[in-house]
Amino acid sequence: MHVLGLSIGRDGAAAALVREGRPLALNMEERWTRRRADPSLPLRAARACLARVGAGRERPDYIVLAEKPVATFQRLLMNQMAAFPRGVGAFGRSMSRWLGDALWIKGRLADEFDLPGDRVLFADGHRALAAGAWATSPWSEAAILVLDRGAENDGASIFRGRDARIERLASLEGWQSLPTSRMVLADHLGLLMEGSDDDGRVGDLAAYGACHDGALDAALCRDSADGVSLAREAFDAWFDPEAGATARLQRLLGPAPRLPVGAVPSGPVADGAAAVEAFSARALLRLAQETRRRTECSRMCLAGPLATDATLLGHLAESGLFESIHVAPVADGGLAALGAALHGGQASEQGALLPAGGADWSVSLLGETLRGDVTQGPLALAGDEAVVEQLAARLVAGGCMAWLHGHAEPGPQARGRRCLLADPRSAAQRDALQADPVSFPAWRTAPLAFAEQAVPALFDVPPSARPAIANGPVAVRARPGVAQALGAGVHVDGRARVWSVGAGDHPLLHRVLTRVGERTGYAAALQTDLRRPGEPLMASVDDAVRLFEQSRWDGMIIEDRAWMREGRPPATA
Amino acid sequence: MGIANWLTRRRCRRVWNDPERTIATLESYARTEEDAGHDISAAIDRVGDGELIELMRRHAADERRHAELFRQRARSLREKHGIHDLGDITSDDKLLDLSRGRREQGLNAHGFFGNDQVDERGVVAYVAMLEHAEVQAEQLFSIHRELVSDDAETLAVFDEILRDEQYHVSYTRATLERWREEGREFEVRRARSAARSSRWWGAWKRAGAASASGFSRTLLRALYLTVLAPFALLARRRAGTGGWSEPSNGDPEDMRGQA
Repeated sequence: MHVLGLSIGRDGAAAALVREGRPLALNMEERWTRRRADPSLPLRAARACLARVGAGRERPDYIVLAEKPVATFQRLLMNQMAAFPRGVGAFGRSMSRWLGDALWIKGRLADEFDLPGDRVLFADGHRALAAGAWATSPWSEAAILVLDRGAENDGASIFRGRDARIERLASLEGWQSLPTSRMVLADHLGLLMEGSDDDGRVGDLAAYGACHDGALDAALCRDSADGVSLAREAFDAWFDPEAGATARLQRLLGPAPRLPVGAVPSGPVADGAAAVEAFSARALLRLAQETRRRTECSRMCLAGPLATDATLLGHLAESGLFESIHVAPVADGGLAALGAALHGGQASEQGALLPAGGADWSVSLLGETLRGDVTQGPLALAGDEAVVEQLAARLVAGGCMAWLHGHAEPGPQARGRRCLLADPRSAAQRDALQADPVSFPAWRTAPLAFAEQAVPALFDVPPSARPAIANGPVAVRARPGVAQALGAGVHVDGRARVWSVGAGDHPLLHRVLTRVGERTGYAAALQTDLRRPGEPLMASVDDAVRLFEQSRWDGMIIEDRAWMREGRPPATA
Repeated sequence: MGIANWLTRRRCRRVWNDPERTIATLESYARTEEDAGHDISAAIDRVGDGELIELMRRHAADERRHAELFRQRARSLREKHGIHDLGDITSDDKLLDLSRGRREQGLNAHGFFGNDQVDERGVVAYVAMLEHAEVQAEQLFSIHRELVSDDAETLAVFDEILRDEQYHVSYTRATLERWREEGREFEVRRARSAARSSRWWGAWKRAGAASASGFSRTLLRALYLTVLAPFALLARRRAGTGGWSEPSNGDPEDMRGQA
């Protein structure tokens, strides 16, 4: 039985195909439309998933959407009524869209895939995320905390996963969504990434500022008997998207400051970011405390947009609230689609159960391959070992190298397969990494990809962060001397966003880093996504070659073909 | 046609009289050309004619190069005028953004049907659409070229792009002619006609959708302020005050329900 899970919105729409509880394919819509975080119905991604199954299969047995559309509609209606009369603008816009299109999605999906209506199912968004996080975890029992921007009316949910079941224990209403409030605050500070809801700049910028008096935290986040309560009046944006930061927020953060172009930020923007970070960290810890109390589990899976925030993950790990924290190797959209498909398989008549903890599969291998022909590249490298040698030698020589190898990561962020690598010892290399065409602000620090065996000696990694750090960056403190040696990869607050690259999950990159370590003593590379600002990761050979032509990088390796900058011949091992 | 041309020229003139509009327009053209490159690359996967595949590959590469030319020019103008923030784009200026149809109506970069419909409509229809779109682009860029004659750098950008556009018109036309000579005259004629009408039909549908959307929004707003007003009080009372809630009857899972 094939179950197709679909997720709309979040950090990009996605589709996932599952057969008898086993994931077969996972695709993001943005890879096909080339619109970053494309939130629209992922029909192209769904067809790509079905195509992977093989010829003749044009429709799944079930479709599961990771959202309850009528619940979302009800929530919008209630919010806009509660905001009367200020909600009139938002009401006109959203109801026009919902009544005209979004409410009838069941029929549309049934038509698109030629299925009877009763084969289209709907999973609650938080439950889908929880199922995805649980299925990718290595455990047979754990707490699951979902913090989402909430399509339906949930801002946070606590689940307990046990064997093949997840059970919801408690929820917070949608307006208390920590990711939403953080996004509104980041928007007020002008820190949202172009074309997305990504507020990842807050953590980087916070290190340059100071949180003076905790006024923001005190105003937005109140202690209560059951752990957390966010001040409702400060979150009008939840009820009326036009409201933005309210007058109260403006008093606390000051009028919307402008981020100076190019310069290392200081003053109101950096102080504002520090205040938002302090508030977010404290609220997250309270939510985690409540999760621990309700589930009595010592291990936790975290899902939602904040799960990929390296700085907040670092705070959570340092708190020691949990023995272990797991974050799925798939970002929100893909995780919800995967979870919906797994959950749908469980609920449908022939139901497969969720894969029990420790299932032997890796979603990191499910992305699609590069489109286009790589056999015409100028320099053929004889096998993987030559690729490893070439990359390692170039990086040690101070080169900045693009690398596209194997299937793409099923999410918006590169994890070693569509990436740009540079030597972390040199500030010049960091600047090269951050320059056009990939460009991001000089005050941001790129994540450090480290061979797993090298991490403990160089960074103070809390034991609870070990599962999470293997799936993506976590901000951890550098040990004495490391900041001086790896200046380009350690932030001004002495932390680095470290990703521990395992030999099992990423064998080739692990070998490259190990070779670098043999030469320099640091088995590490600065790593950033191979994309232009506002665009998805590279998806085709043509695009990658063109991006290389516009860059000043020393070279690029696509599978086993190398492109080297003129005048910079291939390095010899 | 004369009036349409006059209106386009008038709009284009405004673009070059205001640096912010100039930058916004160049950047919108960069997006459109970039998207067109992606669209054509994606369409190549569905084409079986080897000769056409090569021509389309070059076409896709040209479109991406154009995107870079527009982007570079916009960047240097930003630096020259010290403009970092373009401010709000007015609805009038949106008319200059060729990429708007793609974002709002899910059309391909040329303002026609979506790429995923190439399978349904066939390669002949796609090439006819390309031919028509390239003719339109050539006309539009020719108008811009005339208006930037005192700006050597922008002129050079349009000169280079126009040379390519002429080539694109030429190869799509030659391909359609080749198919016509191979006995597919009816198919080619119908595809060309569909391409022409698709453009007008698309514009008509967009205008219809915009006016219907405006009308429905006005109605909904009136409804909100009158009929629904009494329910606002109830909604406010019902709105929660925070805190955790536990599932009432266990942890129900009705996946067939949408609520």
